[in-house]
Formats: sequence, structure tokens, C-alpha cells
Amino acid sequence: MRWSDALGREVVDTSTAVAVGRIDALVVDARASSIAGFVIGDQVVSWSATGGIGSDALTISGTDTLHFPGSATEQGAVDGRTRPLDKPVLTEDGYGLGDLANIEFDPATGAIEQLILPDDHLAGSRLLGVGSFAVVVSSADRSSSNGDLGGLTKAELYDRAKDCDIDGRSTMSKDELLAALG
Amino acid sequence: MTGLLRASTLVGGPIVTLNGESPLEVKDVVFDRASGELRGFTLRKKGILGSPVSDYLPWNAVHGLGPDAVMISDESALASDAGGDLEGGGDVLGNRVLTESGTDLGEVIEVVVSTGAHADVVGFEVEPVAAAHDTGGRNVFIPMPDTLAISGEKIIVPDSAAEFIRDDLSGFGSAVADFRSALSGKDS
Repeated sequence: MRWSDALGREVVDTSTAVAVGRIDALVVDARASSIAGFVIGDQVVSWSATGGIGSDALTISGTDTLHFPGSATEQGAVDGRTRPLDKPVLTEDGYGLGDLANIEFDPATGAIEQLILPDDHLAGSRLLGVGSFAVVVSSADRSSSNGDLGGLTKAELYDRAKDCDIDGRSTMSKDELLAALG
Repeated sequence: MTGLLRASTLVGGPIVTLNGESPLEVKDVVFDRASGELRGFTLRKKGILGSPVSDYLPWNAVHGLGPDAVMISDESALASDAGGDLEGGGDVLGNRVLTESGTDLGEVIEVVVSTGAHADVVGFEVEPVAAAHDTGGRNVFIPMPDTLAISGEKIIVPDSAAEFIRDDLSGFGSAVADFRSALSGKDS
């Protein structure tokens, strides 16, 4: 499921069968690369208190599962300061990869699978932080992401192909670069 | 991604924490006049009229350095002020580069740093003395040895540095590597 598709989805209290609001934002646990909860108005429901997002609505067992922001991360999500879409994606080595277009996550577990750029994508597991200025991801050159070529952007793969002196790299597609490096 | 960039392009760039916050931006790049190494960054609030602040970012607290941002792990990386750390520091711009045997290679107009996790000063962009070295008046790039003598007026480089001069940044990275390995081969 994509971040933008989750926004606006109805939130239903299953104990009263009443719609209590809509998903106004999502809370990101960057270090865990997962969705940690949902913002409904000025309150938050933790992911663990829901069964994940259903195909038509987010269901909660009662309004007692809602709480006011209890952490800086939740607060940032409620006041919109750390909304990640359209923010620049920076690696920990200070390279900009482009502005974040969307986030793909597993609607059953909340695991962030991909960070989607306007014309590329990278692995959600690379997420390090979501702040008011930027979305920060691990660097392709540091040991943490070695061996996980599928998580790199095309520009990063090209850079690696250059280091390995692979012929014909300038005309290769992302898949061809992956095959040549793999 | 690793590459080379001119140190002055870092000025005005954001200082960004791994949590994606950007408290300040680079006001100036500070070099060690004794060694030519990068010492750190003075900082200012963001924006063209950003007022200088006393916060200082020492080089050893930089997490990663790239063309789009200077990354720090968190705001604790910022020193409350430069203190004595800036004393004796200064700018190497304007220094003349002289070989050990006394050839003037030109005036330093830019310091070139490598990016990534192990960022370092790798050389200088130099405006050559008129009509010298047949460069057609263009600026050239001179690799910096790991250690060098530097006085605040002059930078002394080994004679062999002249062999590794390049006229564009793209070929300069390998020239630096070749120069340094040639030097270390000679020493051992």
C-alpha cells in the first residue's frame, strides 16, 4: 500500500460501528523502517493497537486506543512538521537522491518496503530518519548496505558500475546494471 | 557515491542530522594553516541574511560530506564555540604553491575535498602563473600529499606533484591516488 492511498481512509470504531475520523497522517518509526501508527485529528493510534489497514477502512477496537502525542515522533506527525512526502532524500554521506514521491508499505505489518522517488525507488530498510528538513537514508557505500544492490537507486548503481569499470554502463537500464553488478 | 568537490561549494549548504533536521548551514570552511587539513566549519542560521552563531562543527564530528549536505549524527556534534580550536587556523586561499625545487605552480583559489565517510582535503585548484606550464591560462588541479609544509603564504609540494597536475576535476581523483601511492612507494 502507498502512503498517499492510506491518507483519508476512514477510521471505524468496531465497538460502536461509528466512523471516528479519517487517517490524516502516518507516524514513521525510521530506525525500524516501519509505520508506527496513524494520526486521526490531533490524536494517534499505535499500529499495534490496530489490525493493520483493511482494504476499505482502518478499524480500531474503541476510542480508548487513541492517545495524544506521547513522543517527538508522534508530535511531529500530528503537527505535520515531519511529513515525509516531497522532502529531499539525502544519504548519510550528503548526497541528494531526489524528492520523496511516495512510501510503499505492507498494509498487514507496517513494514516500509520502498521509498519512491519521481523516477526511481530505493529499499525502505535504508531509512535512517525523517525530519522537518529531509528524509535521511543509509549510504550505498557503507558496509551496512553492501550486498543489497536491489535497494539502490539507478544513480547509485551507475556509480558502483563506474567503480567496477563495467563496459557499456552508460546505456544500461537499472535492471541491466543490477545484472552486470550481481 | 564518492567524488570530489570544491570546498567553497559547501558554503551555504545545510548541516543535516541523521534524523533529518537541519539546524544550521555552513558559513565558512576552516583549514589548518599548519597542515592544510580541514578543521571544521563555522556556522550560521539559514537564509541569505542568516546571522552567524557561535556554534562550530569540528571536522571529526562530521558523519559524512557530500555535494548536497554536511551530515552529522545529531546536534550534540556541534561544539558550543570554536574556542582555541580556530586559533592558528585560517584560510589557505591565496597561498602560492611552490615545488621543493622552487618552481611556482600558481596561487590557490580553491581547496578540493573528497566526499563520503572519509572526506579529506585531496588537493588545490590553482591559478597558474602567467604563461607557465602551457595551460592556456586555465586553472589546474594539484594533488596534495598526506603531509606538507604550509606557512600561511606558501605551500610546498614535492616536485613530483607537477606530474600529476590535471586540468579538470573528473580525472583528478585518480591523479591524487596515483600521486600518493607514488610518494609512499618512494618513502618505503
